[in-house]
Amino acid sequence: MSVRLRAWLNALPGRMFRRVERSLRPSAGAVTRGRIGLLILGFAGVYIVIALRLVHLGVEPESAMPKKGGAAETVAASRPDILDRKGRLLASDIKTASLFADPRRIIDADEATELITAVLPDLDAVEVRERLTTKRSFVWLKREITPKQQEEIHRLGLPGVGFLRENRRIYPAGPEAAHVLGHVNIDNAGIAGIERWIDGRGLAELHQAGLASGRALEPVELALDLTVQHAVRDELQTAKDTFRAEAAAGLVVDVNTGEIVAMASLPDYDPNRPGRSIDPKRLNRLTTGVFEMGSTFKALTVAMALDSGKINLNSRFDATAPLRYGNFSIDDFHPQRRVLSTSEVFIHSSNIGSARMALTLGVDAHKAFLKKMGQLDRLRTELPESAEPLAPKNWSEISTVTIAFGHGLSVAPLQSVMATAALVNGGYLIPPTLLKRSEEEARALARQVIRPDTSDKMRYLMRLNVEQGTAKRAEVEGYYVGGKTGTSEKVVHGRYAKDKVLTAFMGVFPADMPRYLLLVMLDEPKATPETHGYATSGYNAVPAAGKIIARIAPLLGLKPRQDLPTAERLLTVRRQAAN
Amino acid sequence: MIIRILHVLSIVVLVGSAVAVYKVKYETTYEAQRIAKLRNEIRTERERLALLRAEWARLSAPGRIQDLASRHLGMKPLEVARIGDLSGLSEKPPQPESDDLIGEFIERVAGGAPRDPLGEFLRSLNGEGRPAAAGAKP
Repeated sequence: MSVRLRAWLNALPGRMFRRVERSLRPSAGAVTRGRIGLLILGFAGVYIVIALRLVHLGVEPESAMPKKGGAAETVAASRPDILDRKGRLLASDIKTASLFADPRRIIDADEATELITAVLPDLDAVEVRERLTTKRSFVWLKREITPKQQEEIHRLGLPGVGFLRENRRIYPAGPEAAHVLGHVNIDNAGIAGIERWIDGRGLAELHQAGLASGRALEPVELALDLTVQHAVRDELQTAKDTFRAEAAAGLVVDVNTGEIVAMASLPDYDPNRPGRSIDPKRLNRLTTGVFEMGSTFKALTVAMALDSGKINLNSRFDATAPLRYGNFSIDDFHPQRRVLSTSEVFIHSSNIGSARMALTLGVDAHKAFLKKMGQLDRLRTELPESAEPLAPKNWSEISTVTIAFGHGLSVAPLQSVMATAALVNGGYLIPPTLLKRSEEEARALARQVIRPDTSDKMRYLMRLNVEQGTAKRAEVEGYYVGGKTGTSEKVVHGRYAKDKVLTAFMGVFPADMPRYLLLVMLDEPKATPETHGYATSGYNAVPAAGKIIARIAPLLGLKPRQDLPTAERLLTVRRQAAN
Repeated sequence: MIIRILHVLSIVVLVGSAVAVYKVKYETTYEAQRIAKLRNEIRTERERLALLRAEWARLSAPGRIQDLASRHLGMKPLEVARIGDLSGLSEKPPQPESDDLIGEFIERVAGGAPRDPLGEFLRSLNGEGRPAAAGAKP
């Protein structure tokens, strides 16, 4: 037996090659042996495959692990957390249960309806019944029920009724940063604000590819500071109530990076209950509204004049009489009736003076400058909502005259903040952002729009305006505030209404080395006994801005300083430093 | 004979490997279940964490804190004038020479008083001392 085996083994290689020959001359013994050989080969092959598969399974970890409940979790898309600049939570997902039914498996729709509506009284019984009697295999009964309700429905023991765990978006700070964050719909898709931006950034695609489940999503860090945001909103609310204004808006940007540290527009809404966001009154006025910015726009006119080199701080402008232009007569709110220097035009907020300034440079230069400052094009940020500026179609000399003091051109307030920041930060126009940005990144994006020495002069003028001009009430001891006020009459039925004004204050602090720019806007503030019957910016927006700065500057890490120079000294020191 | 031993051997190997495979399979199932369980636990913990973080964010929301503080603490918002740093402080006062501060205080206040008022009074009665000068410097 062993001899035969040895012979067979010896003959094995030859056997394989002789197969063709044998098939030509088959003999019974050879056929049997051949078949056995084939069988051995076959089995060996199978075992090799199994061994390889085993190795494969061992090397590749848990590739075929079934994901339990994977489907149940992706019903409402999971979203990344949103944090403020110091890591405080602004928006997050929590898991909630949602009730669904499989109508084909419902035995008695009437009974089921009765039992379910007993637990969930706010459900409409007729509608539930209708849904339970359809022929579909899946219907929602109620999204986002409480754990207690889930427990009760579970105890009913109804067949064909089940729960799915869903993500629910919550905003712990409530309405605090509503316009920045935006909100989501019931399927957790962003439909406004940063939430929408997150979706646009490719989250939707990730979801479709099934990759965005669970915690793989990096949190989004905003430039916003929640405490500053709260302080701004709180003070705005106080100002809005005190002056019985229709609306109020406030914006704080870092002038060196373009980061939006706070952005509040009142009235607002609670993103946890986004139903009220549709009300046009609750829109974000800073980005979705366009306004004639009024006198705050004069800062741009003066900067343009100084930057042209044709006009210096001591140039003279005749403001003895109203400026007549065709049918229009341009007059000042606080008429000085004398020849004013450039500085005086700025601090007395002279319409006549700034109009003459713009006319000196001409229509084309004016238009080109505003274009360069980004005032004529739609400003886009991360927020999906933005508004196109309203510029005159035929830009005539009269357009230049009125735009010089902030009428006739409507821009989004954020846009004018961007330009004003460029006037004080050394002349760099930096597109504003809601996301964190370093100074290096900002410098890469920045565009030099005015000369640094023009920027020095603008800082001087803004500081002078707080020391001697219309913005005295914005002064905060130790923070060296500078700024420009603005009061513009609103257009009602195509005419400027004397009693309906939009007041604004654009403040920079500290004025000698600017860090932050603050815009405060009040829509239709009313005069109060304390304001001596005035409703101009100096009596409402300016003191409100002063209060905001006093509150937020310490939060922003700025220390109050002592022995600060006067505005005059600021200019001479700068000049010496330059020499 | 050898062939039989071979047969027996292969059967033993077969049974052995079957047992081994069964064991491995069983262990794999067990480990897989453990992984699933741990995963589930991690998920639940993460959800609870998210919930607690949200809760904390809600409780520490500045609006809520301000509301509570103004209602219960009677505190005022910080005034800028109250912010200062070390350079704003005056120089550190000189260190006292001895540790007996209370003794020194008494010395300073009562330093001018007679040490032994009664004795001096008696001596003055006897015409030995000078009562007028008793209150003067020791």
